[in-house]
Amino acid sequence: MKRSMDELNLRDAFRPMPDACRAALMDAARSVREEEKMKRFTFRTVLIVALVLILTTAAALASGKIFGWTDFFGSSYGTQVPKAAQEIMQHTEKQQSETLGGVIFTPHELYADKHIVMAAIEGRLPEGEKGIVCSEDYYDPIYANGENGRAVAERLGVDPATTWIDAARQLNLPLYAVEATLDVPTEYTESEMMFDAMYNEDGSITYFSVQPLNGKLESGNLDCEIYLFVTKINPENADEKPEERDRMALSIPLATPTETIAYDLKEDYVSYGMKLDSVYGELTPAGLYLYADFTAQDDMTVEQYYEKGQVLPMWFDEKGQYYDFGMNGTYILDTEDWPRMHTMGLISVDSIPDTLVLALEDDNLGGGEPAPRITLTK
Amino acid sequence: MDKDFFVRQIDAHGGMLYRVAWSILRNDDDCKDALQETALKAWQKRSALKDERYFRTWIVRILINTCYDTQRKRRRTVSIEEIQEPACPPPDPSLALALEALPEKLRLPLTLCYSEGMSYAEIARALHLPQATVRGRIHRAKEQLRKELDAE
Repeated sequence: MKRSMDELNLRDAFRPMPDACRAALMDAARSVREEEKMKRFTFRTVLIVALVLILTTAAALASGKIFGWTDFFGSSYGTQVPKAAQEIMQHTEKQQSETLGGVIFTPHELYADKHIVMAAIEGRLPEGEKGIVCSEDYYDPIYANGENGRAVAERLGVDPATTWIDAARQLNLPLYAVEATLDVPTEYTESEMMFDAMYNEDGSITYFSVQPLNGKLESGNLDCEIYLFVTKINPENADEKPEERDRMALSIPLATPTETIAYDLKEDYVSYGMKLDSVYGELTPAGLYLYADFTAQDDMTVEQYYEKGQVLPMWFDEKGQYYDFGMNGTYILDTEDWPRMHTMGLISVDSIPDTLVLALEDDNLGGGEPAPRITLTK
Repeated sequence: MDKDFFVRQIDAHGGMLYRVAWSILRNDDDCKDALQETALKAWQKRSALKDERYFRTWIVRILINTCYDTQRKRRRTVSIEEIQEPACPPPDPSLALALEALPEKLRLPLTLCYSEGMSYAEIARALHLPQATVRGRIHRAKEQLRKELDAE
């Protein structure tokens, strides 16, 4: 007997929570201690913003060009990828391809160092094969991909408000929903992997994946995988063929620092109740990783520090211009050793600047009262 | 957030957390581990919750990440045979089967919406997806669920 959706109570699809699960959950909740310190506090908002912005920028490319990291950071984020990183990525242009579910996947522009691994993975149909390749969100209107989506709609000759599945119906073309993302062993990862897709002029798709790493692996190769997923959808009846999944092995050489610098602090620096102890830099192809250590003053607790806002080390050049944010898009504040605080950030430079200016200030100030600054010289 | 509030919230949302974990993991042992780990992680990260009104969305997000970590550790090698048979059937076994047949990317938003009563905006926050995508997935999930139920 057919049942209407309105008659269904979805909760009836689940049995009650087993006692063992409830006990495990509540035991864990009751076991926490009020004074327990936070393990690690990280801010990753900037990269997330960048990944959202990518969907709203035109990022018009020269004919026949495939989207890559340099286009991504340059057009969507205003950050220049350092030349050394660009060269490494260019060397990884021609990786071995794998075909899954009728789609050819090719990783290109791979980069890894101890803090980050990133890959651009292109998915395309074989030469002469007709169809539409899109991400797994094929019930989305094409314009959900911003200017990039509008360009696709124009190329396909459909209204941008059309969904991918309806576009396939209108054009009577098969639809391939794909995903191609990095999967790094969890022993090396820090935080979540982030990804997004862009559509190329030739109908192919490029998946961008960024995975922050925990620094445990400092040299050698990072062995990881690309998780591939394809579903072919018949536009006539929206029937999905069974999903095809596979994993593609990748071994990415880790870029190592080419130069290091320990800055000599010639004066005391205190901001937001934190005293600067040391600043150390490591120049890598991705830019200059800057490690600044601080000590809390006047018995300030870590909770009091976080209550002050999103207080981070900000880096400026000698003219007071904010340095381009690095391609890892990540700041780390490590407060495990409180009252000491270790921070790490990346600035996008090709060489170690003669002069750096540091300000520990609230990232959310939005033009509020500026924090004091300290000038650091080589 | 003090400990009393935390324990009360976990207690109040326990059933929902289990259903979300089951939607992803479909294995009680894994659910148990994921729930335990979620409570501990949430406490460690409690300063990230700026407004206690968002506790539910926040904890669901932590749980989902923990479940994905669990899945990754399992390396997707669990075969159908290894998935445990639930000890007692759900109130509506045919609906449970139909829901199980959906891919996880559809099952999870549908569960959050129709079983847990979360709004599209809350689901979008919890799953880190645009609202339009959430709407699309729920639409597809309902279509597929209907097909599954009709096929019975």
